[in-house]
Amino acid sequence: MFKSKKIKALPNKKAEAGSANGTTKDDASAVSANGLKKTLEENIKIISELFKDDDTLVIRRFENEQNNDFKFCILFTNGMISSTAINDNIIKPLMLSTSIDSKKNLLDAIMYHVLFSNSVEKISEVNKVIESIVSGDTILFAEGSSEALTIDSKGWQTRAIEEPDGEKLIRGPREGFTESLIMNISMVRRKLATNNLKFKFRTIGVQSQTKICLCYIEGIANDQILKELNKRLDTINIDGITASGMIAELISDSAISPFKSVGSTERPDIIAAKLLEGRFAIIVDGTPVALTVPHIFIEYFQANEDYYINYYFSSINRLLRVLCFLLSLSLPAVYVALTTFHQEMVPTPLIRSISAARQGVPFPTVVEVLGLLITFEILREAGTRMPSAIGQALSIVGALVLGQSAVEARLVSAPVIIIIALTSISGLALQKISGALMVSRVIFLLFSSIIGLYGYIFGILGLLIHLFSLRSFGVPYMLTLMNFNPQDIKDTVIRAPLINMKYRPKFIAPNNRVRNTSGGKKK
Amino acid sequence: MKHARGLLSILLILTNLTLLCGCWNYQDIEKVLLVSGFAIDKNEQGDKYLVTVEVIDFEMAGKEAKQSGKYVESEGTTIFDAVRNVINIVGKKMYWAHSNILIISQDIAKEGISPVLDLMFRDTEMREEMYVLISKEKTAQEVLKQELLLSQTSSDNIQSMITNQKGVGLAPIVKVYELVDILEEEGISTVLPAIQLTKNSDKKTAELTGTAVFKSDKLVGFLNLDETRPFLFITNKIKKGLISVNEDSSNQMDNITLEIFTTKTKVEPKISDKKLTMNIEIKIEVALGELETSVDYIKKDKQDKLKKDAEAKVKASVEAVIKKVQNDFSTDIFGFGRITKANKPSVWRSAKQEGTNLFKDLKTNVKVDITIKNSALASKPIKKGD
Repeated sequence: MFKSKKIKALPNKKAEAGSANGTTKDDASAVSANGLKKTLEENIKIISELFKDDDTLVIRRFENEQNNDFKFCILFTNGMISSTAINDNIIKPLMLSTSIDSKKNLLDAIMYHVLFSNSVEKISEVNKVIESIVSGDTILFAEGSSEALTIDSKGWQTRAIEEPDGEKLIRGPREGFTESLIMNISMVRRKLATNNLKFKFRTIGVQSQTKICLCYIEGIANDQILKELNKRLDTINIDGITASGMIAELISDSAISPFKSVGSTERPDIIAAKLLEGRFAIIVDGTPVALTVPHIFIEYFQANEDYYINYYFSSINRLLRVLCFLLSLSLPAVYVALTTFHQEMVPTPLIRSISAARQGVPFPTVVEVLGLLITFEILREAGTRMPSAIGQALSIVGALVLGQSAVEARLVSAPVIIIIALTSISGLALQKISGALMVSRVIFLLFSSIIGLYGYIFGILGLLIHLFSLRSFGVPYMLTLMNFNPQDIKDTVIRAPLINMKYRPKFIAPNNRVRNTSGGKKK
Repeated sequence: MKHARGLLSILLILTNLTLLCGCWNYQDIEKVLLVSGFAIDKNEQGDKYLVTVEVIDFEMAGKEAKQSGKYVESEGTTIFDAVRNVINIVGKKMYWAHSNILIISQDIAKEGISPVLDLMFRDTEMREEMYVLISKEKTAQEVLKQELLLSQTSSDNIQSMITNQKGVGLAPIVKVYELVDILEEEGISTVLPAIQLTKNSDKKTAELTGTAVFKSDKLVGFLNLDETRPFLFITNKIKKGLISVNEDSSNQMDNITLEIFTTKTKVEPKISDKKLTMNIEIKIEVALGELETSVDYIKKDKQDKLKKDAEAKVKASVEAVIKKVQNDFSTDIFGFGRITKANKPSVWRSAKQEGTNLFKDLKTNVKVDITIKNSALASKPIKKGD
């Protein structure tokens, strides 16, 4: 029932989006049917009508110095352009040029002999004119020509390349993506200098017209996944995309699962590595976070630094991350189950000290644990959103007031504080999975507060069933656990020496699996 | 329709889970009293059980809760009854899973311990790994209520005494399940560690003092500390311990202590002249632990003499214990019957049919082999200079 409603609702929305957008789009198509006019003023009038009430549109008329019959007009959006480029490469040569003489093929002559620009294109449709103006290009109209030139003059302020705050490392490249699509693409391109590296642009968002770029390495990437990915991108029909996370959600496999089937990173080196494994990257204009597909479970535990440092160390780090996952998932649930249902399972000295700590605490254990979990989430959320200047105040209130005073006032017991602290720190070690952790942790806690360890085990079973039923673009989410292949294990909970990692994952890059035949000293 | 079915199945699973699940009693631990040990006596009239329970109590001393053991007494016609009656006295439910010590009074032990053991064996909360002891005092509760030398609870004190027997080898360690196993088995009788109060630094503290010997489930007597070790040698239960030997040297008695590292005992029934004999072969590996003399017993000839004397001493003590048990108690605590049943079933069967007591007149042939491994860190005795 619910499903059919959804399907019905979708075309409605589409129509609505179209009509909301209608004023500009319909007018534009009506005009473009006629195309541009011969006279300069008529063309200017068409465009300025379309950009009515938009004061950022600049219309600059000028003439050739030698021959006043050659009248020109350039149109651009203020703030999106580089003034020097327009002044020096468009206006100046056009004003001073002596090489243009006849009005016949005037635009061609300008294109070939006058303009100092690397990207000039002749257009005749009003639609294209609008597109160029809003994307920061300059439109050149000439008197007597029913066509226009669109000249690249994009220039706006972008953030400098910095190390991303979300993904720090000690050894390895430090650059991170910025909000500029072209800059991000160049960063990826610099890491993979091959003509097999493909960048496919497309525009998403009826209003936002956000540019996104699909990258993959031809010959390694799986065509079926490419087809599926294109299909899903085609279905996106939304008014605007403001960050890549929205695309990730729109193309993900399971809408309700807290586990992501689309990966994300701010680092070009990670993107390059994923592309080399046969994955696809989606870089979105205006977001420093790029997406990778397919994304499987074990990628939560992989970090780029694992491949840059000694493999013993990185294997231990991997194991620690898995341990963190398990701790963060289970500690509150297991604590509640053991202390309220299965006291016989706790060693005698420990149960006595827990009992001693619980003396005088007014709340049941489960309420205590749940309350502290929520408190921690509040602290975390407040810490993320608030201005950094208040940070110190928060940590004092959080650590001192909530931690120490609550124990001293006997509102909570000390073991629970330790349990929650360990749970949350372990959760923080796995930033990307923390949302899923938070949800499953609370569900486990509720289960085990109802029927003890049985509930916990049922929770675990449910989680496993869910994880094993997930797929990311056709690739099983628990890939390495499903088919026990020694080759695939080498880059999971441990990181084998690079010399042993000879093949790409089977499901992700089935056609071109060999990636490494280095012999080292042995050869 | 589809959703209704899904919802219904989830509801069914949930109700089944909660209703059919074995343990589903949420209880916060501070709401129960943790029992650390208990003693069972008969009351003065002798018609009811008197159960003395040591519980862990928490006193709020400022911010922290201080643990201490408190005693609660309760009477009942059965032990379960007495245990339940405690709620009427202290108002809290007792939690028995962390109780480690059970002390049974002599009176009850003489009448038979199996009625007492049933609850420990049957109840879900009580552990079958509980240690069982027999009080040598008049009542069991006075042992439990001992005056402690160290700041710990009485039960913890007794429990650590028992668990650390590995390093002493002076008392048998018996848990409830082992006790029940042996009670049910043919050809072996039960022993339990005996405990009594002794004066130490002006305080009456509990001390393990040998072994309580049972015939079937009734107490028949005690072995003292000196007799307990040979008993443990025969039953192969000794792990560590000391053997002290007095050597007669020129003008004095030299006290020498040997530290046991490993022991291994092999008991084999042999039939010679149609009579059953038990060959007991005890192999002991020791080191010189203490030489209270300047005579060098590390030298070959002296060492050989020491070895012979030690072997003779162990052999004599083992034979003496067997004799004592045969004559005084006539109960097969060594498990010779069990060994005969396993190795010579025909002999066992015929003896059983004829109703003869195999153990009473059993001949034993004890062989002791001691190996002196080393002399610890010093290679010679301390010499007296001028």
